Amino acid sequence: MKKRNIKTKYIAYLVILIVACVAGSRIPGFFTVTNILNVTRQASTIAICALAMTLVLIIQGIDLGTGGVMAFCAMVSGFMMLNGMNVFFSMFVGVAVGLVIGVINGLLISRINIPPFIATYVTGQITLGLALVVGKGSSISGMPDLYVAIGNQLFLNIPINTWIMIVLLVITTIILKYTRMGKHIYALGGNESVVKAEGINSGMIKIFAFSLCGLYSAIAGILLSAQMATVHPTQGASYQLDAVAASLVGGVSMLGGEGAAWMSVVGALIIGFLRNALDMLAIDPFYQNLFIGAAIIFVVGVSVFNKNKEMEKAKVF
Amino acid sequence: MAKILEMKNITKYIFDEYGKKINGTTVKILNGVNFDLEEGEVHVLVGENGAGKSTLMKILGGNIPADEGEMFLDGKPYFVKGPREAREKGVAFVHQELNLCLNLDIAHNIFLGREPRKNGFVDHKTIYKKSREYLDKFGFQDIDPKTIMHNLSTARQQVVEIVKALSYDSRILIMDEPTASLTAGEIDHLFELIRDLKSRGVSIIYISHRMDELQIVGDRLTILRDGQSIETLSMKDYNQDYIVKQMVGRTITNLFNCTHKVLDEDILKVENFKIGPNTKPISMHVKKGEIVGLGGLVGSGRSEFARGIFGVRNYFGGTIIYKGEEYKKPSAEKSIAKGIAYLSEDRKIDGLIVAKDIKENISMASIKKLFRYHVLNNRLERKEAEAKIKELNVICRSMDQLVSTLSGGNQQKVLFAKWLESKPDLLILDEPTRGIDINAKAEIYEIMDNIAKQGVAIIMISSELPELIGMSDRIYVMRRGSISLEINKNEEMTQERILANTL
Repeated sequence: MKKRNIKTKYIAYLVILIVACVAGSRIPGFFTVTNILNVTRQASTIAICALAMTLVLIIQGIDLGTGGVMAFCAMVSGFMMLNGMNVFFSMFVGVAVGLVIGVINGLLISRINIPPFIATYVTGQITLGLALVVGKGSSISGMPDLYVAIGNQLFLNIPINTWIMIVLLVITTIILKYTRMGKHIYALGGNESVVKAEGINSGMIKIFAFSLCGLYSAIAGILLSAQMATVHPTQGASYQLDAVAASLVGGVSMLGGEGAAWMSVVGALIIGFLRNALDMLAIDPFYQNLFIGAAIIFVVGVSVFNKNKEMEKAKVF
Repeated sequence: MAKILEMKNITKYIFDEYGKKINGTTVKILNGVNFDLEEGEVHVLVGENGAGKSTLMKILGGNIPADEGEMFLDGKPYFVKGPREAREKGVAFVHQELNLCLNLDIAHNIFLGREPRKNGFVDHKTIYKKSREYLDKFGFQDIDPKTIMHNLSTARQQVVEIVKALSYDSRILIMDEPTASLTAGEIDHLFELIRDLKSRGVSIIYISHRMDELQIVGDRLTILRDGQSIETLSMKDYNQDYIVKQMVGRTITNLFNCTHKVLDEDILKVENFKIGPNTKPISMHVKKGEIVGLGGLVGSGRSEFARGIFGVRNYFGGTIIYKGEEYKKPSAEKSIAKGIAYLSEDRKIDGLIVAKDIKENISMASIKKLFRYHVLNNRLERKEAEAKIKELNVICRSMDQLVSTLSGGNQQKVLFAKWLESKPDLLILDEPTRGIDINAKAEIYEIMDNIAKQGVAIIMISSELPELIGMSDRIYVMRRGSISLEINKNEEMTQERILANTL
C-alpha cells in the first residue's frame, strides 16, 4: 500500500525528467558546467517562489500575486538605491514590503474570510500597478555594482542566489518539520475545524503562512532584478505559473495538507531545466508557458486519476 | 460513590454558529436540565433527536456556553471557555463525527496543539514515545503511532479519538454514539475498554440510539425529552418499553406494520456482479413491491454494491437486468431516468445540500420535469414540494427553511421526498434510519410500506437487525464483498442466523 503510494506520487515527474533528459541529450551544450550553473541560478528564483507557494498550498491556499509582489518589492529597492541609499538597507526595505503585503493577504483571508485566490490576485494586481507607477511604466536600471554582483557572482563555485535559496530551503524545512507552527500548518491543511477545536488560533497560522509567502516572493523578486541588473514592472509574470507548477510537479498536494519544502525545490529544478531546454531549442518564450501549463495539467491529472483509481481498488472487503 | 459532576438548571436558547443566543428568541433547546455523574460510573443519556443530548454535552465540553444554570466539578464551580480548557480540567469529548486530521499520523493527532518542545523545536521522539505508551496502556499494541490516519479504518480512527481524549488524563469522558460505525467485534473491544476505564475511576457519559447496548455498558440512565430531563433511573430497573415511552411521550406499538404485497415479477436481476477485482460474484433479484433487506457488517460491500447498480461507482464485471432488459454502463443520470433512486448512507455528504432550502432539495432529482419552455417553473416547484412535505409529514417552519436547520429525522424525510419526487420504480435505501430517533423511524417504516404498496421495489441496506427482520420480505446477507446467505420470508429470520453469516 505504502509503496504504491510513493510510486504514483512521483511517476508523473519521472516522465517529465525523462523528457528533459532526452531533450538534453539532443541539445549540444545542455550538460555543460556553465549551462547547469546557469539553470541552477534561474531555477533558484523559481525555487524560492515555489517555497513560498508550498507554504500556502499546504493550508489549502494559493498565491496568485507572486508576480506583482516580485516586481513591486524589487522596484522599491531599486528606486531607493538609485536615490543613493545603502544597497543592503534598500534590499531589506524591499523584503519588508513583501512581508507587509503577505500580512495584508493573511489578514484579508483570515479576518474578512476572502478566499485566498481572490485576496492574493487582487493584492498582486495592486502591487503590479504600484510597480508600474513607481517605474513610470518602464524598467529602471543603473543600480550599484554591488547589487548586480549579488545576483551574478559565485561563492564557492555556486551562485549566490542558489546559496540564498538553500538557506531558505533549510529554514522552511525546519519551520515545517520541527516547529509547532509547522505542524499546525499541516493540521490546518488537513482539517480546519479540528485545529479550531484544539484551541489553536487558525487565523494566526494563515497570517503566518501568507506573510512568509510574501517575504519569500519579495526576496525572489529582488534577486531576479539583481541578476538582470534592471527592475522590470512585469519581471515576475512568468514566475507566477512556474511557482505553482514547481510545487505541484514536486508533489505538493493541491488539496492541502501534504507537501514538503524539498519537493518544491526539486519541482523548480525540473521546471528550470524544462525552460532551459525549450530556450536552447529556440522555442519562443510565449510558447513556453503552453508547455509548462500542459505539464501542470498532466501532473495534476495523473495524480488525481491515480488517487481515484487507488481508492477504488484499495478497498478491502 | 462521590459525585464528580453536577449540572443544575441548565438552560440554553436557540443559538447561532458561534454558540451565542440569537437575539430576541424565546425558543429553548434546553430547559432547566439537571444531570449528575458519579465517580467511575457509566451514565447513559437517551432521548430522541432534538431532545437536547448533544447540546447538553457541548455545554459540558466547553463548545458552547450555557445561558442559565450552574455546573460543579468536584463540588467547585465549573466554568470553561473552550474545549481545550474543558479537557485540561479533565472533561474530554469523543465526537460522533471524528475530529481528526487525516493527513497527519496518529501521534501528531494525539498531541495536536500541545506538542512537547525541546529547545524550542517540536520533540518528535517524545511524541512517538508517549503515543506508544498511551496506545499500549489502552490495549492497542498493534497500532503504530506513525501510521497516517487515512490509512486506518473508521473503527481504528475512533480508537485514536478515544486514546487522544484519554491522554489528557480525563476524569470525565463524553462518548457521543461511539458505536455508530463500529463492527460487532470492535464494539466488544470498546465495551471492554469502557469497563477498564471504569475500574480506573473514569466516569463516562454515554449517548447512543442503540437500546440493546445501554444495558450492557450503563450503570444509570437519564432520559431527555424536548430539552427537559424527564427521569434518571438505575439500570437495575431497565425496561425498554418504559424508557421508549418516556422518550417519546407515548408508546409505540407495532413498529413494523407491513401491509404491502410482493408482486410476481422481477424488476431487477443481477448476475455475477463483482464489486471489487478480487471479490466473489453476486447474483440476486428483486421483485416489484418487494422490500429486500441487505444485511452485513459496515464495510462488507453493501454500499458499494448499491452504488455500482445506481452507477456512481465502477464495478468489475457482471450484468444488470432491469425491467427485463440489460442495463449497460449505468450512470446516475440514466438510473434516474429509468426510475432507480438511491438514498445514500450519509445524507449530509451525497444526499442533501444542507445549505439549500427544503424545496430546492426536494426538486433536485426531478428538476427536469419542472422546466417549462426552458424556464424553471417556481410555482410548480413549490406546489410539488408542499405536497411532499405534507405527505411525508416533514416538520418545518416553511419549505424555504434551510435543510441544515432540520433535525436528523426530518432531513431524512426530505431525502425521501427528493427521491420519491423522481417517481422511482426501484428504491435503494442505504441505512435509511441511521442516527434518527424512534418516532421518526416509525414514520420512515410507514413511508416505506406505503411506497411498496404502490408496486415499487425497495432494497434496504441496514445494520440494525430488528429493522432488517421487521421490514424485509427477503434478506440477503453480505460478507467480504459477496452474498453469504439468502433468507426467504417463510424461512427462519433470526438475528443469530444473520449475525453468524456476517462474520
